[in-house]
Amino acid sequence: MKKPITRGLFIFAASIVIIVCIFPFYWAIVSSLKKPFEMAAYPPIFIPTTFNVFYYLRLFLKRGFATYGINSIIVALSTTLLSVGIGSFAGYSLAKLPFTKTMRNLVGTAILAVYLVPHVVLAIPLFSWFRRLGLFDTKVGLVLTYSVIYVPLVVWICRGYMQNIPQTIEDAAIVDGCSRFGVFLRIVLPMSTTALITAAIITFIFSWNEFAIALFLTATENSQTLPIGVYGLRSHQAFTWQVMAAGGVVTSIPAILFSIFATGYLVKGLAFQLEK
Amino acid sequence: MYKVKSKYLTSWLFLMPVLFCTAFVIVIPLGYLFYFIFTNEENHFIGLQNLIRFSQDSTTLTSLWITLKFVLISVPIQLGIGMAIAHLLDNLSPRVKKVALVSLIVPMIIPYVVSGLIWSLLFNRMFGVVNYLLEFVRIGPVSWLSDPSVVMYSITIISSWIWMPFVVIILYSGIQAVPGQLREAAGLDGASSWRVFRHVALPFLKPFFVIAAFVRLSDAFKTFDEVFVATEGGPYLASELMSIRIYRIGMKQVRLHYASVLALFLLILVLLCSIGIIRALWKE
Repeated sequence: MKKPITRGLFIFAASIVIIVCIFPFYWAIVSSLKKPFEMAAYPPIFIPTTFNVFYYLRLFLKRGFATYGINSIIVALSTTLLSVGIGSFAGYSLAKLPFTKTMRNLVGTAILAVYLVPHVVLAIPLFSWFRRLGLFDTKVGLVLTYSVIYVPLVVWICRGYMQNIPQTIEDAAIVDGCSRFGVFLRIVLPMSTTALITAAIITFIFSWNEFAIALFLTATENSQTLPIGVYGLRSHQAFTWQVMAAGGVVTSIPAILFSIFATGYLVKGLAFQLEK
Repeated sequence: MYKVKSKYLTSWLFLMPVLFCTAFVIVIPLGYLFYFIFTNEENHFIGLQNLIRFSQDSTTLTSLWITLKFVLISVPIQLGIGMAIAHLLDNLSPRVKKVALVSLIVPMIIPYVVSGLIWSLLFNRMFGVVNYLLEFVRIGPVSWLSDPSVVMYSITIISSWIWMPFVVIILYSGIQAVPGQLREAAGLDGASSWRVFRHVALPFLKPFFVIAAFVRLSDAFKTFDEVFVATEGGPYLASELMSIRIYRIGMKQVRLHYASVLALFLLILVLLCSIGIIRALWKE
């Protein structure tokens, strides 16, 4: 089969890849726990000697990160609910409901095009528009915007998944007198939990991580989210690196949770394909 | 009673919420964008003045050039390294492959601002890990983020670190799509793994490569978060990407109407790059 030397090389290369991918985040965790003089140490200290949670406390008590955290949770959850809610309807519509061929393609492409708009580009007029509407610096404004920006992903996922639901099951229900709406609620949705969960997770993480839109549309802790908080730590005069790193780690929590739990799930899917 | 007879009614009804919200958050603001371009800050119509100003604004044009350089350097790097790693993944045992895949997801999923933050720590001239490692190969301390001639490389590194896994995953699924028999046959004939890759896998990979290339191309123009947090436009605007320039003009200088010209320009740039993606997806 494969020569051991080639195998060794591949494993070596793989280790480099793994280290390069993981190290920066490891560094953030380690930095957030260092004592003051350890941070500026040279050569840099790679393995922490103490587990100093002081800076995390500092983050939450002095820097108002708790508010940012709550805002992030509310905004991300609401966005996920709204986006998956309306996106599943749209996805089903494009998957199963009658359309002329060009119309279906047109609508599908138009919705996808929404995802392609640069956030900074959208934010310029949105800033003005939302100010006029009183939606500036509100969580509602953020939720509305995030939902629309990420709904194309939901629509795409749901559409792809729902297309594979056998038409016969739906037809049987319709023959029994069920309305399209009923079919959707009682048959299609329960059968699409995988897609809905995937869409929900993706939407949650993307809206949690969102920064550019929030930068334009928020001004106070009324609506500012964790990524904005992280940026604030960076440009604040009295910064300490440990606090910055701690902020970064906290903001990355959903991402890390996903990596630990959901990739196991994703990898199983891939592993299944590998076994073929 | 008059009954609405269109068989498309329900289809559109299901789409209504998405269409309505999109009209509210996207269509109307884009309309505003066009309106802003032809008006000044007091909302008086000024015709093409903003556009003329744009063509004469050397700082903004430099920013455009910086953005082009950034995109044209980053994307090929990401594609090249991504291809190499995808090939590498293909040759790993399942267990190592699993660990590698999970690690590859990390850079993509951590908030870009956090990545920018972490890398600015790593790129610190005095205490950063990168300079520490470079010492071993006798390269003197590099001012990654404060030297205007180097900062372009720094932001390329940061952005590529974040996005290279994306390319890997797309290309790797492409490699998976190569029928197993073909690969086995080539392997049995004694071809080295590189030749198998070149002549068997590569042709199958082409559509995946095209998709990855176009997506990364249009995405690269949109780069903002990680560069903004790391450099805020860089030492003396050396890393002022178009998106950052738009922020600076629109929010810092509060010239929303002029910023709209740049915004529209960037939008058109991105949409042009995305035509490749749209064409590919339209066929579905």
